[in-house]
Amino acid sequence: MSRTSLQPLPSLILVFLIGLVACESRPPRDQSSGAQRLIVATTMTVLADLIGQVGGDKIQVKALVPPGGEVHTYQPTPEDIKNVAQAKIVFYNGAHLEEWIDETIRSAGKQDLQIVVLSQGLPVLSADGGEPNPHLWLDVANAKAYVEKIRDSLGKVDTANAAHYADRAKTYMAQLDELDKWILAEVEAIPKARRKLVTLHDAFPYFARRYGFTLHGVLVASPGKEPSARELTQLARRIKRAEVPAVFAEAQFNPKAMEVLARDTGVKVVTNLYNDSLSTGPEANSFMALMKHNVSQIVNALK
Amino acid sequence: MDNKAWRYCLEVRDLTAGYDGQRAIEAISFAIPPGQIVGVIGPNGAGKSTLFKVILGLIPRQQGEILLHEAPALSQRAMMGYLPQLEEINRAFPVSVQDVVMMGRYPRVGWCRRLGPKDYEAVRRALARVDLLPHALTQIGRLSGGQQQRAFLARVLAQDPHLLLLDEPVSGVDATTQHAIFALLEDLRNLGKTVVVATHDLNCVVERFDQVLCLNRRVIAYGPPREVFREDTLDRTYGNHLMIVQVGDRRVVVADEHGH
Amino acid sequence: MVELLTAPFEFGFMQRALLGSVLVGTICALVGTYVVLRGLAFVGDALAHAAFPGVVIAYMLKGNIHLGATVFALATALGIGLVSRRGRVSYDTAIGILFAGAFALGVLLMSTIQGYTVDLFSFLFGNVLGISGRDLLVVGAFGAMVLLAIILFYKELLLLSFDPIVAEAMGYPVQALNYLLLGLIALTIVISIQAVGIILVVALLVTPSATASLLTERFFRMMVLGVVLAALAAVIGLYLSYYLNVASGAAIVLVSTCLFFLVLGGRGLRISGKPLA
Ligand SMILES: Nc1ncnc2c1ncn2[C@@H]1O[C@H](COP(=O)(O)OP(=O)(O)O)[C@@H](O)[C@H]1O
Ligand SMILES: [Mg+2]
Ligand SMILES: [Zn+2]
Repeated sequence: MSRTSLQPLPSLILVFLIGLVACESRPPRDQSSGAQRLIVATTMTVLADLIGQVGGDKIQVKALVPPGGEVHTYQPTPEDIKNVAQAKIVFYNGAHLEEWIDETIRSAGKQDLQIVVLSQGLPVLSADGGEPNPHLWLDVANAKAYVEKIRDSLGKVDTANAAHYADRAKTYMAQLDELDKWILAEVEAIPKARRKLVTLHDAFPYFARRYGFTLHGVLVASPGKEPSARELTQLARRIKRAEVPAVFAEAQFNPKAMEVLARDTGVKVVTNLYNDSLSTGPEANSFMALMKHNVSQIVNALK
Repeated sequence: MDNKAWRYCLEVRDLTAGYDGQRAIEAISFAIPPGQIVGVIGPNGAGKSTLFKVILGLIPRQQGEILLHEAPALSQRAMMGYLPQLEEINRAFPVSVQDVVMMGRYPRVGWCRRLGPKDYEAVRRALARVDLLPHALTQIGRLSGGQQQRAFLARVLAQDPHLLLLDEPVSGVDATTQHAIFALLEDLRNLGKTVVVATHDLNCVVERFDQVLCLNRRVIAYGPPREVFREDTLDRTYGNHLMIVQVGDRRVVVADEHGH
Repeated sequence: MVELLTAPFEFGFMQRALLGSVLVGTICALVGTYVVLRGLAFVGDALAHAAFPGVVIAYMLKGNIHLGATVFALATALGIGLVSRRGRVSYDTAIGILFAGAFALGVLLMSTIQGYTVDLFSFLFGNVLGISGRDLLVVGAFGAMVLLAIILFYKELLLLSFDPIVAEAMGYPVQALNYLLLGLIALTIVISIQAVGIILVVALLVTPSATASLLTERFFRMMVLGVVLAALAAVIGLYLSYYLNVASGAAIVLVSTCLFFLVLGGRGLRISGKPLA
């Protein structure tokens, strides 16, 4: 073989890399049309939807973690820092959900940036004296509290449109009330003894408390940490002992471990719940759709 | 072994070879009848090892032909036994002397086949020939340098080749081993084997070998030692790194191995 | 007491983890014998890292992860073979370039997948508890292939490992055999990634065989001992992981490391104790 026989491989890789970089660096240039609009940054797509519901076309909101992204272990990109720097106001959840946000805001280095922590002031649940659980929004009552805070914050930064925001928030909160009632009614289809949840990560305590489920364990104590042999065995035992009818994995995680666990314990498995992110497809592309999707999946699996 | 009587065992015609396009040996031609011991002499860097390696196909040739029994040598490499100048082995490798000698049998046994009683017998005989039977189960790295050299020679014996190419088999071994090895080579010759030996021991060549090939990039001379070993050929082979000493009625040739 | 031994294996995933890690350890020790004796640890590490982009691409395309890893590991094995033959840079350097580049490609691709960090972890550190029945079949099938190749080419691979120059002089296709060996290492790595992950594979490949090499001066015995040590490390490691509540892959590797130092220490004692005896 000649020396040239090595050439195709590196050049192929190079072409591939250039292609990737080209895809990656395509900037979101739809911002030009929104020159007048209030620029808002937030962490999760779920929050972006709530903010969008309140702001309507008066604002332009950018979620740092893209749809399908994993918010707990997210690693911000330079683009994220740029997005924060361009924003007038930043909303994030808090309660240790986005451990990476402080550094991102600091890197953006903007003096007059308004920072709103949506979970602040709301009662939090903590797993036996540990860190607070951040997933407050999965209880619609908390989501309404978020919306109120969004309405007030936007109104303060953009006083000219305060009435507009108040108007939209009122309409949306009425829809959230409907949603809350709908969920409570749907859950009635599940026999009381079967209202049991086992999920991949610990996202559902607020949801469970509001809608009458009991929690029977999670696969990973905190995202990014693999369960040990013992933790996994104990979870399997709990599933059998409590006769949990089904286990659930959240769409942003690799479902394989959950599928394996379900097979070994002989229970159903659902792998597409949404909680920390909206979906890229239509099934959960707004907070409202997300809640309806989850509830339908859970009711189907447990009833 | 052979029922046909070949005129030549090894025939090299107009052979040129080297490294990275450079020529280490040039226009080499010679032919060896079966059943002879041939010494290849020349200073360091003359191309002795290169010649062996080209014959064995370890480095490509740039030009020329190499025939073993009138057919291309490369197609019958199992018929050639090779003792490298320097065995660069991992001394800690977990094999016994017997295991190493057995490797000589592999080409005969063939791919995917198991070793048989005949192979063990051949290995035993080869070990006995080089006096290593008591060390058959010793790990190879535990042998002394001379013993190792004999073990590798036994591997060549176990292979039972027609042509043996031995690259400086006695360099760095003690005098007793040296004599044992040369005696062994004579036995092989008497069995009809052809033996080619690169060496710096010119006296042995004179006393024991049938032919000598004087090499210094090119063939300086080739023929029976007593005809070839004249002062002018040795001078042209070695340049001035050679001394001829008179010891009693014999002229003793001393090659300066380090060739300053 | 019996309860203590059986309790961890109440569920299928632990049974599969045990079977899988023993199987993987066994195959690694077989191939590891050659890796240790030929000083190919760095090559093994390189192939493991080079398999990473294959894993990522397979994951992105929702394809078979084993297949993706195999393609990349084998391609890199081929690349290393080519570079080692005609490169003007040294072997080590060539491997360094190839594997760091391939690994970077994997990380880069991974960063385009959202939510990647969690999965990155399981690829890098493995998840022996996540071995499925199908994974076991793949491990078994690949393992059988590796074992068959070693049985069929036992003599030739031994000669190649001990004395490649004489092997070539005897007319053996040394390049092809080298590729065969690299291919076996690549396959072994692919089936080990699930169990211990990319970063720890090299330990599984090297440590049991290295320990075995301290205990014997015979090639075949070294292979068998390596297999026994690897299986032992897998079993002890899994128990430890269960009772101490620690990561399984790392526990297996650490037990293996401890066995190595135990044997090394034992030898040292024996040697230093000699004059007294
Ligand atoms: N691997 C190699 N690469 C490049 N040149 C070499 C190599 N081996 C030998 N040479 C050169 O080829 C010539 C012949 O060397 P060699 O055959 O080893 O001589 P000898 O065995 O007679 O001492 C020398 O000039 C040597 O420097
Ligand atoms: Mg030489
Ligand atoms: Zn979460």
